[in-house]
Amino acid sequence: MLRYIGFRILQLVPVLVLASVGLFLMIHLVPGDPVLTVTGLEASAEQMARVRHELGFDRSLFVQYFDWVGKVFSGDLGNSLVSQKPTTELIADRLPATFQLTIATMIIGLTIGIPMGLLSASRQGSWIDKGAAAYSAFSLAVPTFVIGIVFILVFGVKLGWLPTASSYIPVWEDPGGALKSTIGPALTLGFYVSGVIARFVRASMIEVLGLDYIRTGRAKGVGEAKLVYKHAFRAASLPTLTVVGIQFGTFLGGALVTESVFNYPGIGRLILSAITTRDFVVVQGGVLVVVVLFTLVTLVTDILYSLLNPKIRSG
Amino acid sequence: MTSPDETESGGVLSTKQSAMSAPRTSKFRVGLRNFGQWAASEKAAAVAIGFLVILALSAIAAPIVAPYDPLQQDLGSILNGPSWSHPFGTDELGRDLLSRVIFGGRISLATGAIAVTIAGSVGALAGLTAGYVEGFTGALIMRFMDFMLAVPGILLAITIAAVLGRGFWPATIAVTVISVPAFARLARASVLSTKEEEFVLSTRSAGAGHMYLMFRTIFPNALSPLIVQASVAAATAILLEAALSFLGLGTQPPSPSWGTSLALGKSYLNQSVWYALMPGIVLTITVFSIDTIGRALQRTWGGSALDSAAGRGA
Repeated sequence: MLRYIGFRILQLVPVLVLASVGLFLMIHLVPGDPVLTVTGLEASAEQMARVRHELGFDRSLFVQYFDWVGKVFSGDLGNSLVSQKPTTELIADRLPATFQLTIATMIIGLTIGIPMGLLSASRQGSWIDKGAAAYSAFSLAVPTFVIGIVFILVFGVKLGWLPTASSYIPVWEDPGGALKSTIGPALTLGFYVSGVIARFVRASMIEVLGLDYIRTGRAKGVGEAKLVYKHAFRAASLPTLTVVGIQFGTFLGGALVTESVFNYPGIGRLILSAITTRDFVVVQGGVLVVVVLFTLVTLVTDILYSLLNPKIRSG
Repeated sequence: MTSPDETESGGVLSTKQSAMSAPRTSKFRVGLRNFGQWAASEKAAAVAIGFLVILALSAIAAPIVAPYDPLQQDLGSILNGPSWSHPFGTDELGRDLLSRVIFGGRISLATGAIAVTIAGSVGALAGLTAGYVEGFTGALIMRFMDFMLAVPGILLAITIAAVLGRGFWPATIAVTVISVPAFARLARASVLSTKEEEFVLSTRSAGAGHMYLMFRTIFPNALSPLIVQASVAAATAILLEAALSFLGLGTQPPSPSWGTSLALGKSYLNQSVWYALMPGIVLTITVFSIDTIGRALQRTWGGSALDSAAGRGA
């Protein structure tokens, strides 16, 4: 088991190295001079040269890369070109909001998705099954920014229940306010995730329900409910875990469309606004943090999977 | 991982069967009849194909079909709801929304088509090579694909779009790049599963070269999962292009892309709900139609490509 975990961690190294090099090169190949972000368009040539030197942009890319990576390891992601604040501070400000949204999203997704998947797998071909299939097909097809706008329209503009622009209120400080500010984006993303989870639960349940040990159980007279919800679901929850993990990791950094629909102050929107203001230091740091988080979540998911799955553990 | 749809079996797309029963008819007519049989057993897919054909035709013939010039302003009637003269309503400058949605279809469909064609070819070639050669080259290709999959799709897309600038082409290139790995993985997997099959081994022992084996013997057998993946990728590409335009990183106003219209419409929700809803509804139906066709093909051919649609939400 330890060997497996060690192996998986080692596998991350090339991915992260590649990610950092790719990110660094991509950002440094941006057309348009990042120095202009700091100095403004009317800067003189000397002014620009001075800022370029201060920021270290006049060194070779090779030196700049190792300098950047070295600083990353000491927890320094550089200062924002726009606000001059440390990038780590900007990210630390946004991360709690993103975590809260992601957790709320997963709660909604699991509460709707798992029962729906279980029901449609145990009643294949019934109207419940067909309805669930239509629901998940629809949830995959409707863009988050469309469903988000519909939520804003219905709950915000028409009914006036929700603030049309949400902010981050920590759940432990003001649960009611936190619910109001998070529920819009969380429902939007949760709608999508619930469809994905329902599909996976149904598919894995059907696969498991066809296996010998379930048939044996049925032949021995084990009740159908116990078979489905206890025995089969335990086995079927494994592949579902992987999907949940991937979705969780994705939303930690990739929920930027939903975040911008609701003006929700998460890390996705931080990166997005940094892109619009050409603040490449923040883009670089933000994307790197997201990639690291995403890979870590995937790693934890894989480890959990192997802990729960005796087949991998022994092999 | 089995796909949920695999349990049902749909129509047949095999030419062999009908060709034998009617040896004299032309290949085209056989194909047409098979398609007709398939469409009859997959009614939802047939409707979806119908919708997409209408959408594509109106996009191509937009200047003729659209009732107005999509940029023509009429400040006398702004933010109106649907009416006989403006079936989808008007925007904040009095421009006709139906015409803008029809012209916007050009952008969405073009992105979908370009992304699938290029990403499909590049991805299939990379996957084919990785599966056929294995060893160092194969591992290198696949590690690179893994790296691309290690970043959430939309994030990679906006980073690429940010590097390339704003507009139709940067967005299309970004969407194309992130569509490649899924094709590569699928192509590699099907090569690995077929290359030790007897028909491949016997072709090899008959003296076929690597190129012949790769493209004439193995590739045709990897084709059906790739076509299913193409439908998923097309829908995802259209979604992502709209998302990029919505975020202001894709096609720029006054160009009438669906994503741009949605973003603008969102800021006028208090005055007119139709402005944001209409492009949103058309976009949703488009993606839903492509997905429906993909699911039908998947039932016919098997495979689980649609699971890769799980990477869409953002």
